[in-house]
Amino acid sequence: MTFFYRLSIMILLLIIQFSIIPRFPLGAFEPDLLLGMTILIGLFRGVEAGCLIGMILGLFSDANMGILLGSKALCWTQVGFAVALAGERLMIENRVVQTLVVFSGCLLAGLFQVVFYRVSAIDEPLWRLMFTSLMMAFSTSLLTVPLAALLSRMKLLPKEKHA
Amino acid sequence: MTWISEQYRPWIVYSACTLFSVAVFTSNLRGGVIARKLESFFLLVLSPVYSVVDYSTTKSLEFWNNYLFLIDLKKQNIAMDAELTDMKSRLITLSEEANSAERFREILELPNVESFNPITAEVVRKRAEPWETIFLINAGSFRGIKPSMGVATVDGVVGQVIRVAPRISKVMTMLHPKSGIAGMLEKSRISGVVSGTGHGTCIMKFVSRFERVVLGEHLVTSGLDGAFPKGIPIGVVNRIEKDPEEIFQSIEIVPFVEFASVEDVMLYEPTIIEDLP
Repeated sequence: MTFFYRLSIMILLLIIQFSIIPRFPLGAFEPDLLLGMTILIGLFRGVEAGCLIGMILGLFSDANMGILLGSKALCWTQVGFAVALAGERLMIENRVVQTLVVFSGCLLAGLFQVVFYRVSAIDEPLWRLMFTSLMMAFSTSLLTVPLAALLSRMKLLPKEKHA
Repeated sequence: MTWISEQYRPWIVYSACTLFSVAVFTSNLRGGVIARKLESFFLLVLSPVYSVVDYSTTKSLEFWNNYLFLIDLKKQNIAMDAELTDMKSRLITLSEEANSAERFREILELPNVESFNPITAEVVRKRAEPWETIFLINAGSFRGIKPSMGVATVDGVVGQVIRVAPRISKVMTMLHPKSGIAGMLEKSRISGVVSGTGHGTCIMKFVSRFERVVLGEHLVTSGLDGAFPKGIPIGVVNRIEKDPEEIFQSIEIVPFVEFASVEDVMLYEPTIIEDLP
């Protein structure tokens, strides 16, 4: 039962991210719920879950609108790993800490993405790529609290840790 | 043994995920089959995700348009009747011209190397960042879409299909630096390859700096890549730069298509491929 419940919430998140959010003209301010989810799961569930969820959701995100499948999967795996390691040293029950971690994680993903754009010979100015990442990190971090609540309902975040 | 696996398990999972992602990414760079299949699979999984919202939106709009928004219908009908009459007369003129062109082609004995069957589709998703403009269209392998097929609108060339799933396909627009469309200047008939700059414009590559290109000249498809028929508009020459140390000149092209507002597209399916003598 829990599996189907989790699956339905995952599908709901995919629908929101890929079908509903793009309908609003948010531009660079478009939040990335899947990245936010990767970071929160990495933070609360540790390295294994963070890496696996990062890789799978990264592949979905690449398939959705990316040119090179695997680029976001690789970035988000690293982010899931880094956030999980950081989570061992942080007071993750605190909502402000969660928000700051989501913000930093999104920026880290943006930095990795810049490296991939360079590898793919996309010579977009660094400031523009970083500005886009900064805006995305900001908008995603604003959604940390509802996202954490949703993940908690999915029993993906341990209740005793999530305040 | 259990202690060892518990201690190293996170690192093993991390390494496995990283290696898998690197393998997929590098396979993609080499145009590998695994990456293509995997992406098609993910697109297949995502197809219902796209359609659930699209379907409900379309049905709501249909209901609005068909039942609630009929105020100006009579006025529209009269205007459309007039337009239809005008179109019919234009069609007669154009079919006469087409017959003449066909007769001239037969006289000149030009081989009909390739013709195209148009397939229409709707854009279901867009990513309109200037450095990576990707479209998803609601037609896939079930409707005969194949990778590398040309995509255009009535205004001109949009791009080419790069990935195909059963009901959905991914289109890389010509604004992307990795795109490549065979183009030709309309008047001077100089050929080259058009690709994106990543800044919302395109460049025409491989045109010798000794060729005379005029600002404002129109660029059309040359048909040499087999993805588009000859003569589909691409854009207009906006800037020309000649470096004495370079063999080729740099020609900036502004596309005719307004990529932000593309809704319906046409794909070109090659139907006749005859061997050249």
